[in-house]
Amino acid sequence: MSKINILDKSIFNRIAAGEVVEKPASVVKEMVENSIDAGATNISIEITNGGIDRIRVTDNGCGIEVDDMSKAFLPHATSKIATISDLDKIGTLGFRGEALCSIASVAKVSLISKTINGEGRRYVVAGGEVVSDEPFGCSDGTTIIMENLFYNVPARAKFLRKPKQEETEITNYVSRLIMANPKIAIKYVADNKLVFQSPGTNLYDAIYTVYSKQIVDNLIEVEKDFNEYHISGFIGKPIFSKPNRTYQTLVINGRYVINQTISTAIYKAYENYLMKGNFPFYVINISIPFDKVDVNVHPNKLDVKFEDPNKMFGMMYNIIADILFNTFTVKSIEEDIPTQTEKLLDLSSLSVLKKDEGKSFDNNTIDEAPKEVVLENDSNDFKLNFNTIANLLSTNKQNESTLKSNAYAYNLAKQVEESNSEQTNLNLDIDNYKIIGVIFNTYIIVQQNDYI
Amino acid sequence: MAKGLSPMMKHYLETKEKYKDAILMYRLGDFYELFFEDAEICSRVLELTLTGKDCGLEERAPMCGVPYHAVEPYVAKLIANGYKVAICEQLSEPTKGKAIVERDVVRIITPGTVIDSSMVEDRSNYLKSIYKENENIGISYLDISTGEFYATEVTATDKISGTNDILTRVRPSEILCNNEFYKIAEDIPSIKLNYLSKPQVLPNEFFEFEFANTTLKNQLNTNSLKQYNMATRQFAVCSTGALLHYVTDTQKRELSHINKIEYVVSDHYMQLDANTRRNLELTETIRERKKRGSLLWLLNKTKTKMGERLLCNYIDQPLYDDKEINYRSKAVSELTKNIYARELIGECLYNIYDIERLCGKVSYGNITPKDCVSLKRSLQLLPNLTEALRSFESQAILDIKQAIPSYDEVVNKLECAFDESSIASNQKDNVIFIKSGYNEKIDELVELKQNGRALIAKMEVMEKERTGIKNLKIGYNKVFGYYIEVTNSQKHMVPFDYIRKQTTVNGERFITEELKNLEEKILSADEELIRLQMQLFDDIREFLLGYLPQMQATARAIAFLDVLYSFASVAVERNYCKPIISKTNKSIEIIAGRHPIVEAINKDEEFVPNDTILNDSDCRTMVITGPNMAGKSTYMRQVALITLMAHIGSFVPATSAKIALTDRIFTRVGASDDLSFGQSTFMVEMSEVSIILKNATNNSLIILDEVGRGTSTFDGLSIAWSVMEYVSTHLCAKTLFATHYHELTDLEGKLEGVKNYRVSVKEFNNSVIFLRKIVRGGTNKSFGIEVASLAGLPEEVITKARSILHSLEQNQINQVTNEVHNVNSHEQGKQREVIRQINDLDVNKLTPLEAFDLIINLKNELK
Repeated sequence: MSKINILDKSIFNRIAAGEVVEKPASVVKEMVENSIDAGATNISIEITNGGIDRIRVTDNGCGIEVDDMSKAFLPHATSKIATISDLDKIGTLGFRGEALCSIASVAKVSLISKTINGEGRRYVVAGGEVVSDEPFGCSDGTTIIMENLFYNVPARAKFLRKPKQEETEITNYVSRLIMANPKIAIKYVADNKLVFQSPGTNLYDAIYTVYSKQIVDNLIEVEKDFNEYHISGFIGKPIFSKPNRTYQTLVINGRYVINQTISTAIYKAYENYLMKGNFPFYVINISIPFDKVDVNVHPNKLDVKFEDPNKMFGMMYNIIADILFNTFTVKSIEEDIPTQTEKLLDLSSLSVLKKDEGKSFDNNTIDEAPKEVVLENDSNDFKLNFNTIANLLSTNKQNESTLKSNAYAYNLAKQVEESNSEQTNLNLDIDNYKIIGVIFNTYIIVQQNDYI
Repeated sequence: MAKGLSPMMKHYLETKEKYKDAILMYRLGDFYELFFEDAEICSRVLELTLTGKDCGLEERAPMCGVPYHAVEPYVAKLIANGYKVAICEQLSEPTKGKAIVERDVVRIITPGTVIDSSMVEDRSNYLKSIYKENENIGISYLDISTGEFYATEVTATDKISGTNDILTRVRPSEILCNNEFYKIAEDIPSIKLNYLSKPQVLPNEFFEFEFANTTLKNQLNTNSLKQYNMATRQFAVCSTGALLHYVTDTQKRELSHINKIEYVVSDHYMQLDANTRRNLELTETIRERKKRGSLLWLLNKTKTKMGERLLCNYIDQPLYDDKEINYRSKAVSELTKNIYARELIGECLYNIYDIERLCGKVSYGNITPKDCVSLKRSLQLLPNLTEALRSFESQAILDIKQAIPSYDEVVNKLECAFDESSIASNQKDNVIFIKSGYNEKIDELVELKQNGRALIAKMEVMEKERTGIKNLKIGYNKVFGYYIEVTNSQKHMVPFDYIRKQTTVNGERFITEELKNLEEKILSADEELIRLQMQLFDDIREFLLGYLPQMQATARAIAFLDVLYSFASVAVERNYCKPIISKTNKSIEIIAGRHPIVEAINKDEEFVPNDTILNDSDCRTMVITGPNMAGKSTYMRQVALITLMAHIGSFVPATSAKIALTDRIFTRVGASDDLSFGQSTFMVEMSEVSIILKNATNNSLIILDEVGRGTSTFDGLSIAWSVMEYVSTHLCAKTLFATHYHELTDLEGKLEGVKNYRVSVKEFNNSVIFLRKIVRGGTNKSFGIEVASLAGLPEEVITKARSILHSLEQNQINQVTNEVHNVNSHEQGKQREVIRQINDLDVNKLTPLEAFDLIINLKNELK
């Protein structure tokens, strides 16, 4: 009695689809990656009800030829690779040939496309079956509309989370997408409300589209070449840190990934500048030769494997540490009084106490604070010019009595000068501290005796 | 008038005599009342009850009234219905026993002179004055709420259409004119067709040059009109005389915010007739006359009311000057590039009030403390605005920055003077809006007032003690003032110096001399406080008047910035590009153009873009054939809209666009029976076409959608054909011609500059699919039957139609083309023959008689 069945195509497609199409966000990802691979400079993403009811992605890429349209929905069909050797040098985001087939087997998909010299065509598939195939008036490029996700697999539909949650996930993905592709103008609309619209100019504008002015004001540019590797992007100044890794975006060869090696390397580089448990902001773009990295690792293509992870680690660490050091070493400051608080932030590297935004301390917690500040630096000397510190503090407009602050600064600086070695210990007299307040989430105004 | 009339009635009738053409609202106590005809009109228009009043005549006079504090909406409704309203107020306090209260008309509200914001829309509201002297016409127009004042003279050779253009470009809500103009007013289409109200004639003396010149100079406070380019424009000046006189006559006060005038050169603007404005749905849609779906709706991302008004004006008046256009579009371009600055600018603008109208209110005298606070808040934001503009370099933005100085003095003064929290509390009576610390005397009086309460309380305590009455209270009402209230049970303990004033159910109320003295002090403090406050407020108003011209200029600059900001926002959001306009470029080249409104409203379908190439040589005329519903009209309108948008300085929906400087846009679209005017569809169409043919130049853009409809096929075809020829050879304007007459496709190759295009369709499974792409080449299939079937015509009708079509196609219509060919070539053949004969003549050998015969022969040949 035969117990083993050879599954019909429609069944195994539906099962395999589960790997690729977990949720609306994965559908959006697959569709958008196709658009990017098609060379689009303009992508428009529209979702309804968290993407469960409807997802539409329109691009102005190269389009699909009429003859290719029906093939597109077959499993293992892709225009991205052709031979096995292609797998070793994947230059596109999509390559598995699984996405369209999977999506079409668990939803209703309309594919509308037109190449520059071809005719517009509309091809509709539902649950793996072709519904219609006819000429259609449309502009150059491709539009894919997916409706009613998991309409024919109620079991999976039950596992969909609430629409708002799915939408949040999509929004998160789109924001990474925007930062990974600053030269593509991306428009994202959810339930008829415009969420993002990036201008497709540069990374700075892309970050501004996703994040606020506050973040954008506190960025340091990164641009470095290291043999065949190219690292570019922005890292956030240490004053802007978050208690989790959500504000970190890593893009490798144009693909958004989450990679332990790199994120740890960067974290280590920030070690001396941040409190424990706080993570920095960064948007980093790495171009690696295709043969040094393998993207066919994770089912969601969300991670990659390096040929030489240690080398990657060392490279990232050094680059970031270098930049941080160069930015925050106190050099002689010109006459101009800084209008922004950035220049004055040099002192943040001397931060003594924990920064909890807005909370006021009572005297008890002070005991927990480190009584000493140890300034370490591996490479160069960390000379503090005491004149500059005095200048800094005196130009700080917060202080009411500049004389007093000068005196304090003078004291502080003197201490530093006197112990002019590689390891500089600053003994700050902590006993008579009284915290007066927190300014800009940056400064803690501390009164010690008569000084502020 | 009958002898028995009451004095009030007499006065009413006298006043009414003076203001016969207005509805007289006569203030009687707490009401504005209307009598006789006015009452009947108002009762109808305002839906009020018509009652009567005894006035001394045999019959009661018809009367209706409205409460004085709710008069605004009623006046607004009357104005909206085209009436003028004269407000007659009580000028003095009613005193007992004396004669009737003094009353007089304090202002006349007319449609062109409304200044209350509740009655004015978000558009500019213009009063126009037209002066005609022989062939010269001078026009001036004023928006009294903002002080915008313009003048122009009609320079077109056809005075009627020139005047009509100006009237449609700047639609006035009220027109004044002199007698001579009134005689020809009926010939002006927009007046004839009732788009505008009938002009009112003012006596000639107000149009006289001497009078006008002096009046204008006085109003503008200047000795010479040279700086306004008006020194030599005598006709324009004449028109201003009447306008200013009318304004002062109705408003009865000085209007110092009218402090400059701008001379407008008419050919500075593109000309669009009323039909085109309507067809292109510039400010409202054709079908439902709504804002949504109009170009204004699309481009309106302004954040201030001033910006919105200015945008409206810009859309109504596209420019015909490439320098001016580029002045605007360069600034828009800069704004599109800087998202950060743009957001800041938007935030600032959002919080700025309508400074222009506030200035008008300052000048007019009806500004309130609340308005002053709004003004202060707006001025306070200006430094932020200029800061946001810091890095911009385009000339327009530099000019804007120039016009926004710091208003520290004004802000400080208003800050110190007004107590925002008490103003915000929206109390009606006895609000003390002056801040403490601003004026000593006020502070004193306020203290007195507050102390007064304390003193009353103290007195209450004292009285309680003195008399031993435990539940003694001191109360206040408007009738008796302060009183001491004692309940019936305690009545007997009342001392002798208590004077009984009132008995109530529960007790009795008394006063004492002391109490009355205190009351006197407190109340007089109140009065003095009110009086002093008003005086201080007046002083502040005077102070603001000094800054008026400056603030008005700043307001205009902010409005301009707002419009540029709006253009930039829309351009970024909808992916528009910067159009290239220059005088030397004579062609319209649009790559991947889209219809801005259709693509915005039809979000479900992705709009299919199309290219357009129209130049002044080999591609002047596009003949577009193809089925209905395929997108012909949309395509043509998109070309017109893109051209127009380019001429107001905005970006356009296309990948790239080069637009020729266009002086006029004509559209002949849609079918309409103007039965009320006794015109059929065809008649209307022909009238419109004739206007086009008479007025188009080689710089114009013409959109013709199916000319030749509404009459028999042959007639229509013939007319369409010859119109095409005329346009193509005589006018040389850029033309888009959509038609169902496929025969017209033969014109390509025969007429210079004509090219055939069609909307591509695909036949699929017995139905048509519209591909919406415009491609070269004509078509001879209209797919009318397929479209009709799509529309739902019954099956039998469709089938029968198909067979009829079949037989028709076999027989007749194909022959038409050949006939016309024959006609043409036949004629040309004859002409050539005659010319040859003339060439071969040897004139020297001809005798007069022979010559005579020859001429007769040649003539016969040409027949």
